[in-house]
Amino acid sequence: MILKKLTGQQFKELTTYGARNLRANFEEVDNLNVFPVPDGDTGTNMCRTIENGVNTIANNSSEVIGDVGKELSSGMLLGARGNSGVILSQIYRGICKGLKGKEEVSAKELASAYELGVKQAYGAVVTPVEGTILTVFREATEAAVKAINDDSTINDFYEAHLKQAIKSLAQTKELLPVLKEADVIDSGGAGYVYIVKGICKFLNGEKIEASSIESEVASSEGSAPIAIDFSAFGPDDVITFGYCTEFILRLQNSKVDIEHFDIKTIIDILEGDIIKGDSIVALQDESIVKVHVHTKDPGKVLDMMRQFGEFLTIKVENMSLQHNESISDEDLAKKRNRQHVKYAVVAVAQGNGIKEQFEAFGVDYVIGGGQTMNPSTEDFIHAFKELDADNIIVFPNNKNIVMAAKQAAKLYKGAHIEVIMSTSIPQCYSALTMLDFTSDDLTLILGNFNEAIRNVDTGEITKSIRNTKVHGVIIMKGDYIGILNGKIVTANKNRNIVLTNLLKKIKNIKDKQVVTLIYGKDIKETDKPKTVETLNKKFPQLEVGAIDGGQSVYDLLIAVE
Amino acid sequence: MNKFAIITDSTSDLTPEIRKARDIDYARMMVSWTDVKDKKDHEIFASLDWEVYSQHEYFNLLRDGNRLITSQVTEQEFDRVFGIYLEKGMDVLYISCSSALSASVHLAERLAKEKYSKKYPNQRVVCVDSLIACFGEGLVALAAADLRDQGKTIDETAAWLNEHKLEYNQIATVETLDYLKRAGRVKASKAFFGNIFGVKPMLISDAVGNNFAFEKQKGRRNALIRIATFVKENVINPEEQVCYVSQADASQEDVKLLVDKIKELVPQFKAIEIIPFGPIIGATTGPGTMGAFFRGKKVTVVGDN
Repeated sequence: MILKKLTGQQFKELTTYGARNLRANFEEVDNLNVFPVPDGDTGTNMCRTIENGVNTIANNSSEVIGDVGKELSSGMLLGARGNSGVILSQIYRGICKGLKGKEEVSAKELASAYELGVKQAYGAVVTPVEGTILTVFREATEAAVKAINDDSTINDFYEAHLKQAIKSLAQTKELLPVLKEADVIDSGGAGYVYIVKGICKFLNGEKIEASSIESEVASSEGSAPIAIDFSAFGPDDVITFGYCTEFILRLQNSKVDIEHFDIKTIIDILEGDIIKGDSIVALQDESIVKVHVHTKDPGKVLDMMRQFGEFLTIKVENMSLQHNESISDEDLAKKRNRQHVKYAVVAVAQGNGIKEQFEAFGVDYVIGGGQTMNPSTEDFIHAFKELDADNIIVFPNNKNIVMAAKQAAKLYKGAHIEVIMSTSIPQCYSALTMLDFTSDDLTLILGNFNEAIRNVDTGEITKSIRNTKVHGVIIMKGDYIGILNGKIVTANKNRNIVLTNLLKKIKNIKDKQVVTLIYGKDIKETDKPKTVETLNKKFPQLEVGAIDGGQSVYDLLIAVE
Repeated sequence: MNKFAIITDSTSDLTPEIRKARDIDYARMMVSWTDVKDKKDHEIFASLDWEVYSQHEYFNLLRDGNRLITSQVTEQEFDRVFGIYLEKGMDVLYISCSSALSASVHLAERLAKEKYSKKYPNQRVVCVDSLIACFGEGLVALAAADLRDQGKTIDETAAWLNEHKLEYNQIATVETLDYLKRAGRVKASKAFFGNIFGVKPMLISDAVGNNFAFEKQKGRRNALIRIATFVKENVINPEEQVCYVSQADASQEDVKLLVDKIKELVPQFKAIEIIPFGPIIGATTGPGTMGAFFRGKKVTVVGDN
């Protein structure tokens, strides 16, 4: 189809196509990783960012492009995760600003909106790096602006945009030396090209089906099925804890006035004398109602809910058997016990050992995630909402997470939020060991954290999944590689040699005092003592300690202070 | 008016030389343990003369894994040491370990009222709760000796001490948290320490006489340097006093590092003297404990539990 003007619904459609096309290719984007480490996640992050936006506008039937844009923008902003995801959300924020107040737009108006996207994205990044998604988007926009005139169609704009985007993407390798050396193109730029390709497919009348991967990915994020021990509830046991009951209800027009339906009606029933439910969480999104409740009589709950609609899913579990409460449940219980505090701490952690350690340090809310699973802006906001504090201090554990955390800090108005620039798990760990609010002086407290972080050298040891050369280090597939402060500095078949060499690369290693080893989930129990021994022998002045982190991919994370 | 004796106890860390020079005596607390090696029960006086075990041997008992149990001054010991001076017709000024750490002062007060006042009706036993331990308590006793030298009476001396005792500062750190955890004497929340590796608590004696971990440092050297900066921040009139650096069988390098750092930051001290960290508090803080003791700003902070 040839579009002279772009309406709200068309904008929704073509953005949806952009998202679908990225979804179909996200794994390829994930694999565009400079390091030979299976933890690239740019595709996943960008995908989930744009999908959050697209899902937000799925039910928006407005023809007014400004209205659709406004919703899309906020959906992407909240869903943003990872650096490229955050930049993508800022690109769309700028574009949608340009669409504001417009019913439909011409190619020229669309071009101006895209120019605002460039401005917004560059403004959002503290130090814009060329050779990334920023360059691809900017050059593609500049080329498209040049290519069109008053008579151009929307198709003309996107064709020119795509053509240059592909060209710029190929050139990212020339702009960033690290890309050139590893012989890969920029992953964020590649993700963006897939989005524009999807848009063009829509304009060319090609079909892209909604992928089923989306739901698979969503469900794989939940915990793996847990083996349930049925012996915990025997023939003579009495139900004491009740049933954890969760369901999703589709409100029916034949039963209720959906538009004016108040979720409070359901909550009142669940809290009432018949059900006597507790740990209630009930959320409504248009005709969908999600409910979580603990009750001794789930049958009655289900019966009573059918007066409002029909079930989409139901889950009922005997809580005597539940070893792992669902997350929402646990969180709720925590919030109930929470009192108003002056300072609260939110940290991001991956691996159960690290999570537990952080909680022991006094972290109030641990967001799951890290290198391979970046939490979104919304995840951070959710955490902030769970806390009742004047000041919330946030500890990211990856540079890819900092932006989402900062975006959340800007959006959230319920507390003063400070995002600490901890960009690795060891940095985060070290800063948290110094958690101390005794002074009650925020400047001093933050200063101490920053000081702790400045003092940390971060080491990471993992196995290479391919032959390559990065930062001048020649790496064979299967080698252990040592990464010091984000740079590959050494590689060897022997992990302890990598560890020793890694520490030797630290310039002021003689001034260092404490080394903390964080064991990954795949390191053998029998290898652990030798690892510590190696350090004690090679670096006798260092105090060496170790914890079980349980993180994936990296056998060893090392904090050197 | 009677002359008065100044008596402290085992936590004052006053060396034999200082005690002799300033005419101060002390009441001995007790240390007992079941030895991990010979499996026998041992009980010794917590001697500041280190005549049974040298300081090194004593702290090795801890390194070997022995749990040393300390106990307050007994009635018998008070009778003995106070008796020496009361029998001579003197009054006794007892400067005790912080009542937050030891009940010795309560026993002494009770004995003074119920026993010694009857046995020696014309003499006095006056107790001053120093609200500090280690050489901080020692400094309070030295101040008493100064006042006595100036001809002050026992009551004038006690009154001055009670007004000024919180000006005697302690800043200390431990080499490892293991011993402190075993003892549970430091007032600080669990989260403050957690199971944190490499983190060193900075311990002051707070305004109610508790050891309070008011701050933490990462790494031994940083902790030692922090002792020196704390001294600089809190000392008053360093040119009029000696700074005492106390060490529990710590390494020579650590001692030198701390002394040099204090010298660098506060060169005005008349001297910096190195003294052995005593057996009672040392039993709970462990080998490697180091601290500095000086007169400075009045301590007002009260640690939380």
